[in-house]
Order: sequence, then structure tokens, then C-alpha cells
Amino acid sequence: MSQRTRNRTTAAAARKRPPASASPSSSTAPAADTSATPSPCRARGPGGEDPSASSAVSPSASPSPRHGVAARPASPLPGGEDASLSPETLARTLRAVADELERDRALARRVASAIAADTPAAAPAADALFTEAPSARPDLEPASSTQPKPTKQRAARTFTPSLVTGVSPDLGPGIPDPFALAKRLGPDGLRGALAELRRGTLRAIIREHGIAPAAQVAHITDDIRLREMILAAVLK
Amino acid sequence: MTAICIANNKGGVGKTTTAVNLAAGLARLNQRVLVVDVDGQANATYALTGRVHPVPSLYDVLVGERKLEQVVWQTNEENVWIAPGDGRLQNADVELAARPGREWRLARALTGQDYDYIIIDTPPALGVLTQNALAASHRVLIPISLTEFSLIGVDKLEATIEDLRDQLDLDDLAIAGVVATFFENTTTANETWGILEKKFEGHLLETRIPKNLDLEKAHRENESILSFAPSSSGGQAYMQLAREVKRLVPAHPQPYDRRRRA
Repeated sequence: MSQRTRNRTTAAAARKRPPASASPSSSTAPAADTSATPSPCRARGPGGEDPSASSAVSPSASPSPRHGVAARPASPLPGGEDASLSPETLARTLRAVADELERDRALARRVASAIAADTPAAAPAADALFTEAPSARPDLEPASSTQPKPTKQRAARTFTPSLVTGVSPDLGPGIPDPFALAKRLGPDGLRGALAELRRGTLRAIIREHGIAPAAQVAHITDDIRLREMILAAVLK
Repeated sequence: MTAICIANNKGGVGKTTTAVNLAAGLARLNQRVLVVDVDGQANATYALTGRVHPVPSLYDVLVGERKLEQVVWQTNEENVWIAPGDGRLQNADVELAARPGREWRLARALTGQDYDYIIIDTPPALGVLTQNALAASHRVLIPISLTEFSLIGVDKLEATIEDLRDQLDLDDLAIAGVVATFFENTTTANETWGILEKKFEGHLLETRIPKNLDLEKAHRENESILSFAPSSSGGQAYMQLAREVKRLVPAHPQPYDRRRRA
């Protein structure tokens, strides 16, 4: 890890650290504010939990009586020993890395992929990095299995941007009536009209015209399948 | 019926996204909701129906002589209807400027409508259309993205609400809440949140809408985030917002009458 990344991760960790007594080896550096009490401004998860709580470290949990302040750069120990290799520094660094992995999802994936690629036997452990409580980070995809996952091919894009012209005015206001459209435009005209409609309108057609229950189509994300359901109902 | 105006004179803060998804959330709480799209960009209309600048629209009600029920549609969301907007509304400020009682045209059009909630999406400006929306509302919900610029326009919006309250005798027009949008757990966002907490003491809503790409994708698919990705962070946040708003601003059982004090 580069010094720049180390400084950034330790700075991020410093914001989450509780107060710690100053290390005698770093008495000249100012103590960073590492209040254990979460700021009222700190974001909380949907359940109200403090996302930093899991990474907070109690000074009493440290195995060493020397509690260095996380933000202070490493400095030589009195005996000339390189402080960057001291157990405390290593522990702080690893905690900072863990915090960063928790925060930066993309980094976590890269690290997990690297671990899985280099050590196949450790692949389940790598997947475990993504096993987390649903309420902790709801915007992240939860792990659905602890089994090693095969490399997924990126799904083909189902949408490419284009100028938006919207639903044709010929379909009239409100939710289009596919039965009326079929009578007016014929089967091919109906197919053409449906091809221009987005998922929301297709689901609304199915719901409003009793083609299928709303709960059934709520889980269908394939627009082609939705169109086929409508066509099957209208053209049968 | 209770009317809530989604307003902020700053653009891009999530007014339309909030209007659309709050309406969908309230509908899922068994409320019948009318969305009124007063914005000439008519993005709420597109997000809920897939229509771009449909005619006739709310313009024909505010500037023309149509009745509101002649332009209201069922949207793609169950229990959500819309009085759609279209691009002609962008000129409505000028066209309405000389008309007497120009601030009350929307309120008059809504009189007698029988929904549980009216959610009014407004343009990023404090012109005649936004004044119509404020005059027609019982409460104002202010989305704010936690950036430096967003703090600048808030004072102006508050002043406008105060002025309208005085000019139009709307002493019950009040801020229902301020909701943070595009929220990310950064130092700047948290510090800005702290500033807003002090400024809007008691009005800052607990719900914070996260930055979530699914919100944009849902617009593209012409449905709410609650239909598109209900378990996403945006979906969960907007469902939470709907519950919070319903609790803070209960629906009045009587049909719409702006003369009624909320």
C-alpha cells in the first residue's frame, strides 16, 4: 500500500476512532479528534444504526498500553526500530484497510477477486467479504451464497440512451388499451405500438386490463416477456 | 384532501423524483393520490406515463378554460393519477401575468377534487406557476441536495413562502419538511446536514434520500422506484418518506377546498 493510500485510509479511520491516549513516542504531534460518540451529522443506515459502530475500536481492546493516535504518521521508536512494522501500526493499518473495503465496494470486489484468483482454496472466504446484514448497507448486493461463484459474464445492456420522444399520442391518454389498439391497428400495429412502450406502461396495461395480477408482473423485468403476455391475451 | 407542494427554486435537487416516488409511496399506503405537474419540463408526466408534452394538459386548465377532470389521467402507478404538464407551461408565467387572481387559478381548478393527497411538482423558479402551486397547497416539502449551492436558494424560497402567506392570507401554508436528497456519507454532506438541522430546526425530515442510480433508471422505465426496484436504497428511502409524510401531514377527509384551513 502506498504512503498516500495509507495516509488516506488512516485519516478515514481517524474520523471513526474513539479518543486514545497519546503515544509517548509521538508526543510532538497534535492529537487527532477521534471522538467515540458518533456525530449527530453522521449518516445512519435505514435502521438508524451507525455504520461506523462496527469499526469503532475501544482503547481498552488494544493489546498494547501504547495507544497511538491513528492519524499520526509513524515515527521511529526509541530503540530505533522501524515504527511502520510495529504491531500497533500494523493493526491500525489493517483496520483502516478494512474500513476502506467496507466503504469502497469496488475496491472490495477487486480485492476479493484477487484473493479468489490467487488462492482458490480461500475463495469461500473471499465471498464471505460480501456477506453482510441487509440493514447495514442496503444499497449493496448481499451475498446469496457462500459457494465460489463462477465468473459472471457482464449481462448485455438492455437499454441504450436515445432521444426521448415518449409514447405516441396516437395511443391516447392514460394507460393504453391493447384490445382497442388491436382493433384499430391490427396485430402488427399492436406489436409495433407495444415495442415503443417501457416497462412501467407495459405493467400498467397488464394490471389495468386484467391480463395478469399485479403481484405476478411485479417480478418480471423482461420487457419482451411483458409484451408477449399482452399479445397472447389480446390475440388469442 | 391535503395538498403538498414540492418546491425548491434550485434545479436538479430531486423535486420531480420526490413528487413521483412520494406519490407512489402514499398510494402503497392505500391513499389515492393526484400528481399535478405544474413544471413546463413535464418530467413528472413522463416519469409516470411515458408521455412527453401531452395535449391537452394542465396548461389548458390554467391558461385555457378546460376543467381539471378533462385532463386527469390514470398513471402507470396504481392509485396515482396525474394532471399532466406540457411545454406550453413554460410561457404560462407571461400569459397569466396580467390576469386577475392569477395566483389562484390552480386552487380554483382543484376545488371539489376528491383524492386523499395532491402532490404538486413545481418548476425550479419562483414565478406565477410556483406561486399557484404554493397558494393551492396546505404544506410545502422542500427537497435539498446537500451541496453548497443548495444552501444559497433556501432563504429566497422561505422568503417567498412568507410573502405569499401575507399577500394571499395563507396563514396555514407551512413547511411540512425539508428532505435531503442525493445523500452520500461524505464530510461535506454531513456538515451541510448539520447546517440545515440548525436552520430548519424541527423541519428536517428523518428520511434522507440516498444517491441511487436506480432512481434515474426508474424514470427511464416510466414507473416509480417502488415498482422498479423497491428493495433498492432509493426505494426503501422513498417508502420511508411516504410513511413519514403521512404521519406528519395526514390526509384531510373532505374534498379539496383551499379556503379550508389545514
